[in-house]
Amino acid sequence: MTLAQSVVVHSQTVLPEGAVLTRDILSLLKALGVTEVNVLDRSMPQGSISMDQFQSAVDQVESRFMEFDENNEVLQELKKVLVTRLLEQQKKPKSQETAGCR
Amino acid sequence: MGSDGGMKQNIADIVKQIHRLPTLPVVYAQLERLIANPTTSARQLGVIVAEDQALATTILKVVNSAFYGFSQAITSTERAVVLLGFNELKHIALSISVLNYFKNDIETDEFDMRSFWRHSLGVGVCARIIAQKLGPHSGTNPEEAFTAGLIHDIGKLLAHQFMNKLFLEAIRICSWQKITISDAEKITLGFTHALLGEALLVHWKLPPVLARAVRYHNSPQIYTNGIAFSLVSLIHVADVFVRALEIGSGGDPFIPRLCIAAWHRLGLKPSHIKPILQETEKAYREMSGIMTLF
Repeated sequence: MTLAQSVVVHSQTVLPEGAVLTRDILSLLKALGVTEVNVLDRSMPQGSISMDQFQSAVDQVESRFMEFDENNEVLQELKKVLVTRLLEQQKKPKSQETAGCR
Repeated sequence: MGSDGGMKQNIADIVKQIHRLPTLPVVYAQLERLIANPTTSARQLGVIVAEDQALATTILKVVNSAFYGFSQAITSTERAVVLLGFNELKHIALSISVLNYFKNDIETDEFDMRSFWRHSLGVGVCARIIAQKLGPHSGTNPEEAFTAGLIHDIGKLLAHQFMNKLFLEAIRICSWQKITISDAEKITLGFTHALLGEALLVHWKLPPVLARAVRYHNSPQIYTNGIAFSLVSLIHVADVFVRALEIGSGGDPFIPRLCIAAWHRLGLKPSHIKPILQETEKAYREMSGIMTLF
């Protein structure tokens, strides 16, 4: 997932638009006091996502993998799609969730 | 339910028990025999299918679904045969027969049978979508991929039926040890459901390509050459995707390790993941209504 808008802290750009949000970068942003980010993904719900919500979705998805290799582009993409899907599901009312899926 | 006495059983003993299982429905054997005969017509096949009302109804529902995408309504089994092709019809008939065969075994303990079938149907649907994307030169056929996906875990049903206590023990330990159901089965049973599934398919005299896909879907890295080279990889990837989507349950709650060699064999790219997952969810919703799992 990439940033739709640069993250600016005390008038200084700490992360430029288009930067890829990895686990390390998220931790760094949280340490800098950043609480919300704008994420660029056409399928994502409009508006910003709180850092905690985003981090929680990432953690939830990562914990489901038997093994997760951060350097593997296939797993990275699969994780990205699953995180996006999870955030979308969290925004939807319960009745709109996928029928037949756990 | 077979007794397992809490002890590991020899695979040969299990296979003996499998040999006491009835064979697949007569209609499938009839279709197979007719399809092997080059003089058989679509009309003859259509008549055989029409004689089995439940099979005919399900086949017509399947071919009229958006998943198959035929532009006109198909109202006769003969027309379905013409549009699908002989082998495709055989694969669909096999899938429906297998589903019906085990349908009555709905006893639910720690092994949730409904969830098992949801997962199996999900893998069938996903495998068919991937096979379609790969195209005819990939060595995979969409209907064959659907069937292989639907039956890939069939060995779990045998394990549940004949080695109930040991199989349920495997389900319990895979959750708390964070190991795959296959690794847990090796501990409790001494072998995996994949091996049992292959034995059943051999007993049913089903095509060897399907038996190989069932045997190696969790270990494509050791199946590096052979008749099911592409299909093994395809079912492995579809299984990982459907577990990622949480459609039903494969026995353990995890997304298994993805064999990167299998991924590369198929020639897929990371950009394919999102559309495949989206199409799978959509097609699964439609097919689960048609196949009326339970």
